[in-house]
Amino acid sequence: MSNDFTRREALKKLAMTTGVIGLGLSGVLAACGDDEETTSDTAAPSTDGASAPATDASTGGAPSGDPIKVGVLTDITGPFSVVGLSNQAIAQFTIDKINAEGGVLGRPLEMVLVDSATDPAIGAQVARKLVEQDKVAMVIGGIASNMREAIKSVIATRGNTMYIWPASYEGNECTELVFNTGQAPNQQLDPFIPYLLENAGKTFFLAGADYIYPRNILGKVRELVEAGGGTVVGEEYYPLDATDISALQNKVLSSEAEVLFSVVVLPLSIPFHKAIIDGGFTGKIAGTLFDETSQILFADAATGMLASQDYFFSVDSPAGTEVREAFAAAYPDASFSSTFNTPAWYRSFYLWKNAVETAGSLDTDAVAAAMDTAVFEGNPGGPAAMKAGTKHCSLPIFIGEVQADGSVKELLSAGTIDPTECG
Amino acid sequence: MVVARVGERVRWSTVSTIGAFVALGALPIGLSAMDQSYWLQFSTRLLLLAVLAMSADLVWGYAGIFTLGHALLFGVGAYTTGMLASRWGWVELQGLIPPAILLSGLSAFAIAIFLFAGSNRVGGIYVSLATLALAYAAERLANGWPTLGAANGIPGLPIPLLFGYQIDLGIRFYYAAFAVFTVAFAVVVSVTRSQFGLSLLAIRDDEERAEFLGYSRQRIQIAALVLSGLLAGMAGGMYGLHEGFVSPGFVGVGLSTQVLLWLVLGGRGRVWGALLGVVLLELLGRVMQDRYPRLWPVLVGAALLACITFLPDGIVSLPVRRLRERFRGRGRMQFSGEPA
Repeated sequence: MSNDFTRREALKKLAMTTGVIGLGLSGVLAACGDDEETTSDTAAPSTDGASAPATDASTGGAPSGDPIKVGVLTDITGPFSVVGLSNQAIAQFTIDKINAEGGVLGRPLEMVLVDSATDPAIGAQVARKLVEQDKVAMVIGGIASNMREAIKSVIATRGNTMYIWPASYEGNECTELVFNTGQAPNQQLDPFIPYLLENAGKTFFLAGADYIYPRNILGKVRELVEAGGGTVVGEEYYPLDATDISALQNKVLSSEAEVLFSVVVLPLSIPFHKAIIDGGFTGKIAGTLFDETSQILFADAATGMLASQDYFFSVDSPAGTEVREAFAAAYPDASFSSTFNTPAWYRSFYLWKNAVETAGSLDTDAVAAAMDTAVFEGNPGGPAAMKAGTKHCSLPIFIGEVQADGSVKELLSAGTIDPTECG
Repeated sequence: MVVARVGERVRWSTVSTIGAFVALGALPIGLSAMDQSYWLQFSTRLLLLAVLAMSADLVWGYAGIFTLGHALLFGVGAYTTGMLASRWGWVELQGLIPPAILLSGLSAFAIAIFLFAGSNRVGGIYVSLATLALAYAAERLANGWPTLGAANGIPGLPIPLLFGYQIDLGIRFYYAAFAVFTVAFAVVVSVTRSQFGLSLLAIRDDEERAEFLGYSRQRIQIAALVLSGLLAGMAGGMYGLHEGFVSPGFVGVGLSTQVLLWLVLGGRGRVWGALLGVVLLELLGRVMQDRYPRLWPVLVGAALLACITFLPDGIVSLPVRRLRERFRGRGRMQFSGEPA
């Protein structure tokens, strides 16, 4: 009895303490939350402050009238939050920039941000809120493919609202009103594999996590390698939630392949690539997920990694350099890299703006029809355009090599590659 | 004496139950009058999740089987309708829902046999661990099985029909969900007030004593789990159609845990606790997520912790407590987190 009493007392005290701390914390956090809102409201004009008046003058006036609501859905919390926060930043940045340039149809854009929390079930809820409650003109977002699968019917099929999927992915997304502005597999791989066969070696080992993205990508890599006269000496997949893949490391090392094509993903990609290099791998590591973020993740093991993307910081493009530097100044914690889909998010807003202005209204069908051939000259890597009938975007593609300082040196500009999707 | 007490309780609870049902029935009329289609769909979803919570309450709150994998049964229902709708093009609710109910009932039966039948039956914490392992395995399986859409799940489910009549999202789907909720409510209430329900409570409160009195623990627990599986399958089938997609999370540990949290917050062993917990926690989550997008999990967690500590019987125990005080402790079920 007394034992029970003391336990209860202890629990009560613990709970009280937790409660007090919790309340205090939530107060502080609430303050932070408000702060964040106000800083993003005030910081945005102030960061654009320098350029805004000039742009206004050139385009003839600030936007007026009712704001057009744009839904931004990304993973602010959960395992993908690092990418999600960058997505949020580029969305806010681009919307502010467009507003400073006169808005869309003369009206300002208003961002309605929701957190899909790296959980498709939550994503479907918040997508529904955007469509049914906020009645946004368009929804952009999603990081992983399972998120896209969960939200696309809520937004496009059932909600009759345009959905822009701004990510490089495994292909085959052709739903009505869904537009893909990231890189389709053929865009990254068509120029990349011949380049590797010519410059890196003829024998390939394909390694990836066991889910749809690596399987589709590596399936296409195998086709291209074999078509180009190379050989695949190994193709291995590990379970996505494995905690140890040293068996895979050993297979790669003992295969003596000249090229390791890796779609090994976080978190295991960190020990995996390090172990490959430490194990004496003398070939080249190539993949679809490498860029300026690689050195941050893989440290020295990143040096020499070969990548194929729609933009590298080293690409000689005045438009790209300008927007990247302005973005870095406004959001120093965010990343402009291709694997974070930042260039894709940026061009998505402008492609949509172009479509709305061509359509002359926000009517869903009219905008979708115009989106089919929307263009954006200011895309970071060079002009981009939706390819009619494919629901995907023709993009300039570059092949690069990760340097010891983390930058990516452009090795080849492959020119504009058309997507071969939904044809 | 006993008759009078039961009479009093029934009158009170009948009035409040009728009131609650009238409110639930009138809700969509109010919401659609205010053009709140989002909140209408939100409410529809909550009704279906409440059915899942009630089914879990049947095994945890009434039968005392602490399962950590209850979403498995829900997910079997969801995947069944998902497969029938997307692979075979079925769209009629009367064709889609019965297989979902049947398959998850069968799954529940298989799990129950595995857990409770035979001489080396599992008890206590091991039931929890076994169900946890099952839900984990099911989620892994769903994630890796291409036929089930692997990690992407089954997207793009159609708007269902009922005998040729389209059940659009909004008011019509709400009433379909309301019908499902009513069925589940009726089942839970009638079961828990039956002899069988009393034997469930007996086993929950003192297994050995109940067995000495001649009740077969095995049969009763198997029956409770199967019944719960039937309800969970019905909820899962409807839920997948309402959301428009099915994903591996539907069978997993995450949702299973969420179900327990609803019951902790709402209150176990009382039929309204399930709906109350679902509504409060989901609404709280929704509002928090809008207000503090980066902090809401922490805040919801703190709210739950406070509830577990100060209100172990859940929110539903508040009016019950007051009532019990009025009747000087003559309340019906004593259910407390602390064993007596």
